Amino acid sequence: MAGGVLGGPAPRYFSISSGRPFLQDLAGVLTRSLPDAGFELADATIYLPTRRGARALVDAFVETAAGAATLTPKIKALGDIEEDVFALDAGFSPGVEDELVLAPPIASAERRLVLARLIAEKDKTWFDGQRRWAGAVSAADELGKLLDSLYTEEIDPAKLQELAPDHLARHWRESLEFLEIVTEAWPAYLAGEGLYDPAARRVALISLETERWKKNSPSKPIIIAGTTGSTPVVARMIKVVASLPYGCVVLPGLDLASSDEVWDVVDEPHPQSGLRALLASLEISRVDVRAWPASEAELHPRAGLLNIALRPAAASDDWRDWADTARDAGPEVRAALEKLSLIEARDEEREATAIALKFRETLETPGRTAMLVTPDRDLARRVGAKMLRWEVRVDDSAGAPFANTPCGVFLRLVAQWLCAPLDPVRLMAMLDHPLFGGGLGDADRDRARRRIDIGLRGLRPVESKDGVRKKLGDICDDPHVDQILKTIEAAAARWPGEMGSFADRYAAHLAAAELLSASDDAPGEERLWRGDDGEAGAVLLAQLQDGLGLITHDKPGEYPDIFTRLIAGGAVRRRAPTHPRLSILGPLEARLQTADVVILAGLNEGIWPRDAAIDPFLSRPMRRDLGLPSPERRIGLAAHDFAQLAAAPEVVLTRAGRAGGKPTKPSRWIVRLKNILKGAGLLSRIDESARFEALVSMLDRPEAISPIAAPQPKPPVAARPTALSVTQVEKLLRDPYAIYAAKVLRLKKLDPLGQAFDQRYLGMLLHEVLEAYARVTMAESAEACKEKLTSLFAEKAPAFGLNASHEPFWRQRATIAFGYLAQWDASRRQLGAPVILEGNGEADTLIDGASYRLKARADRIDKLGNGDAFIIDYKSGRAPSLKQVAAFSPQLPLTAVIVELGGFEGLAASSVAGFEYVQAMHAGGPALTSGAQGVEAAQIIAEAREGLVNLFKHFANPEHAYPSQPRPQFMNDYGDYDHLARRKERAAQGAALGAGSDE
Amino acid sequence: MTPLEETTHNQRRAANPAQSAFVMANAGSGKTRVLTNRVARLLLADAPPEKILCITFTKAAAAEMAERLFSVLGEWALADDEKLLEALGELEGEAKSKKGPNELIKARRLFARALETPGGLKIQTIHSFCETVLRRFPIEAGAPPGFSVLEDTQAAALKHDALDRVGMDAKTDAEISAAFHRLSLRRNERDLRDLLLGACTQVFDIPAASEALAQELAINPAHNADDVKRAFLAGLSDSDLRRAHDGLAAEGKSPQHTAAIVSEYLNTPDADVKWSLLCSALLISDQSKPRD
Repeated sequence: MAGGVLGGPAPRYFSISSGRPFLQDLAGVLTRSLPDAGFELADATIYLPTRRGARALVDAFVETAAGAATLTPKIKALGDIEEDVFALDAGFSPGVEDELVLAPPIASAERRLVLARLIAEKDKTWFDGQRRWAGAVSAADELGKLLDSLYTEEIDPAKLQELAPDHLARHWRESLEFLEIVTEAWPAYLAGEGLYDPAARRVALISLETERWKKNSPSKPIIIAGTTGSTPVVARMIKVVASLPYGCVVLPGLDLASSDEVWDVVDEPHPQSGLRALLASLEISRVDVRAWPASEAELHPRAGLLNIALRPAAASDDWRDWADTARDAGPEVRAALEKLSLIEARDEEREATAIALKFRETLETPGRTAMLVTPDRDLARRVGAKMLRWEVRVDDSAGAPFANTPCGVFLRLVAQWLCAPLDPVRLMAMLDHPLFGGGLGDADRDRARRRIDIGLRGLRPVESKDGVRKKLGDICDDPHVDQILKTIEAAAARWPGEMGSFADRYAAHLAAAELLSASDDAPGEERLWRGDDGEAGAVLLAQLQDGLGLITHDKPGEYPDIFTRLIAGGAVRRRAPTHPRLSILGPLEARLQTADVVILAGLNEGIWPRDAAIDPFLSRPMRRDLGLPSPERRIGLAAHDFAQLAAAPEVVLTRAGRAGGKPTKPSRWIVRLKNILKGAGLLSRIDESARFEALVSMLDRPEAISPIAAPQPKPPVAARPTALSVTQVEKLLRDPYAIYAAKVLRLKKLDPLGQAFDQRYLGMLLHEVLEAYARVTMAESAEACKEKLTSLFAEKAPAFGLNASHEPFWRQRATIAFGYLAQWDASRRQLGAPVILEGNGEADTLIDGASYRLKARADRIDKLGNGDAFIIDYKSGRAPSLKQVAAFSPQLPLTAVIVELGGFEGLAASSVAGFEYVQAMHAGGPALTSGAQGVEAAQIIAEAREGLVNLFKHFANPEHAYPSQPRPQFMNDYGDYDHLARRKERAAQGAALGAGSDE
Repeated sequence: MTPLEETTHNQRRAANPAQSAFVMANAGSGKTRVLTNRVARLLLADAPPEKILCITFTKAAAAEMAERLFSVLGEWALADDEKLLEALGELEGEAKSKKGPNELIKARRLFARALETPGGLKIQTIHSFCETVLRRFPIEAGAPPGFSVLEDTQAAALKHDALDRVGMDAKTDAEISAAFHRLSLRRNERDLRDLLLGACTQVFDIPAASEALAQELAINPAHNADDVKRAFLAGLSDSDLRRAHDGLAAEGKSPQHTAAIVSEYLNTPDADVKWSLLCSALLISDQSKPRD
């Protein structure tokens, strides 16, 4: 019987039913039937749809041989247009002769560039492709897709021209003009260069092989297996092979069980639509297809269930009959539902954890295998990361986009930085990448880049060639820092100026990347281009090389975006599986594969299946008229993948209720399955959502939750600060913990990278302006004073990050405010003259035998006519009210204490007549001030002095702690040390504990 | 009708696809249900599912509506004749639907038909609908085919760059410089920045906008503020005002105060004085907000 698969009457069409291990059945039967027909295994040639399938079939043959020495058949991949958008290795390649007969193919990367160029030349009006290369490249990708489908469907692009019937709108004529690139320019280019379009060439190669077989029947077995024959050329090949003397065709999971009524109404999104279309083009019907020997047994109940659930819409009216009989859960139904589970997780994070748990569970049984299949690469990555919890490494073997691999990311970061070498964020992002070497060993590099990171914080470096060095100051003296700076300077020096061409920039970019990635013991070329990603990148970039001259008149700043788009689509596949029993695959890689446990994940509409593609050029009727497949064809193929995989013995279906914080729509297949099971009252048999939700929650739940008490640090008295500035005293009143962290723990908050001018820098700038102003100004006209202030502001602004582009936002208001300020100043000067400007003062005091020091930096102290001092403080924002001053902002009263003790150099101990805050940037009217003088001031100063003594006394007691923001009326959410004090956490705990919840 | 019956009746009317409806109701009062029913009735009436468009404001609402629709249609798919006739009757305001066996078959198939709508059943947010249109007609819209949508952070960076460039332009362009001058009198730096950042994403056609505004306010676009004031004053009839004065004067203290202003208005010939009196009578002190 088994010999019948090759020797029986032609044409020989078979199907391996859903739920059977396809490759094992194929290898098993062929291993027996080839010798029966008088052949060695090695005589046969087997065509499979994908390369991964081809590799797995080799394994299946070896497994079947069970240790016996054997030569496996020749196994080839037909290649799928979906397989590699950007084929990094060769697709279908039957033989050297044919390769030589046909013109060579144009590399995909080059095709993209040529199309982009054609678009740029053509496009003058539509979307500015002339000047926006990134847009032209993305448009080139869309045209590329159109070309692929035209060539694959063997439709002459020129036919597009015939499409324009009168009833189509005027806009179509514009589109058609644009599409002349496809109908005329591209074919002309290929002809001129003597090149073949890659998709057309694949069709031509398969055709050549088919024609040869037709003319000259091969005497050896030819088998095509596992393909749904969704392209005309493969369908023709199938037809020829089925009738060869020793040919046979093995289809994947043709539904031989459904009635003809159902079969006749199979629609495009249905799993069987591809096979049904194939049978139609082969001019055969289902009776002409026999069950493959190993799968003759009745359809597996699961496959039967899926068949029902995925019914074509037009045959979906008798689900009720099924539900009525299934309700009793007879053996058939039980078998279908056994080992099928559905996990609807709350979000993608929990979905990943549930899958990881399933993986982990599988590993408990020796030898058991599990396979995760999902089109969602982010989910795949999450699962991989979750597995590290158990130190199990499973890598995603679906291709990862090159742009997201370490090598791709580093190249992009370098490109970004080259365009803005002084941007500290871009610089640090590049320096922090693991591929950055700086010519140093790991330890030296890490230390040096930490120093650079710290040195770069705060305002951006000034615009100048040595801006970074200026910003870093002394740090540059560190020899390793210097080495890194020299490397980045050398790399930046390669970057061509405005006049450089794109090709120049590209060359400079790659050279810079190599230079930057060199370490002390490995040259950059070696570190950058090694590993799966580096090697794939080197191939991809070499392909681009030839076409770079096609990009002209680009803007330098556009380079990173164009580069990113040019490398988009390049995929990197891992060659070796990382785990012997667990694997993570995309649906395409998973075709024909199986495992003990099959997990199908990411089952949401838009993910699996993907939304039907939107064709930017052709409407649905136009595609139909041209003979192009409808966008639903892909959904049908995806449904076939799903139905095949879900028929495996043990299956877990998962999805997330929310993704990226937004609710999702469940995959149509899940909606169908749930609906019929719900109707039959069987849903609870497969729904494991609650169980996994509980397991997932349990996984991260600590044994016990012990809330952290608010910090009450009580450092030894010797470690407590005895010298405080007046502003620190204020801080100590409001937030003692901040003083503890700053003065005892000596922690200081770092500024962010690349800060722009803001309120804080405005404050610093104003102090500087007003100090300089007070030093030089003598009594002049109010107008002259205003001029002086304005020009000082303009002069000093750049050093505080207020550069030319910010200036117009400030100038007007500053000028007005300075007018009022000058008036205020003039009135002050009638009372006295400034004696202290930005001066430091300090005074020591003995309290309970211990010495304390109080320090202050005064903006300005005037000496009045009677010899008294008057203290002035400039505020860039709002000045505190007198009430606040008295209670919690004793900055000026305490400064007064120092003045009274003679703590300022150049000002003998004198009594203080008053103090005043001035709102320096108030443009709405005369300068706003607040303060006190005379008796009132004296009282506030006395109180401040007393308060200070009490404060020092309080903190001199080792029993007294430094709590975090203990006074509710002065709490804020932006204390520098709030995070350290875990304030938010306690706020959350308070809420949770208050609600009596333990979650 | 009891209130409940009335609500049910109104919901049914709004769910009737044969007429347009505008529904405004409290949260939780059944708006989504009305919409779902409307779509279900459209489908029952043989509307091709791909030709129905439901726009919602949030993704959450879209997901919820799709879920409800499929749950209704899913129940129909599995209901026996009796239950299905009741459900359909309920939808159309009858105790029991009079649909024949063929129509019941059609109703049962709607679940799978709607699920397999070519291009997907269009229950989506306004953003995703617009994006679909742009993706389908990029050339017509002037966008590169295959464009990608900006991330918020990218958009913010672009806006800041644009603002920096405007700031630089102020150095050389007197008009921009003057605009900064005017604007910064009214707004501090941060507000001004926010104002301009907001303006980055809008395309302004100022002449067109002022024409549209003029049309909306029914004024001649060539007129300036003084013309408008004069036209306004000319439109006030003295006899009406006199009557208003007499009425107000008979009332309490505050109306009497207004009456005094009105009388002053009537006695002065000066248009500017009239205008400012009018403002003081009708507007609160900063002259921009109306009095209650």
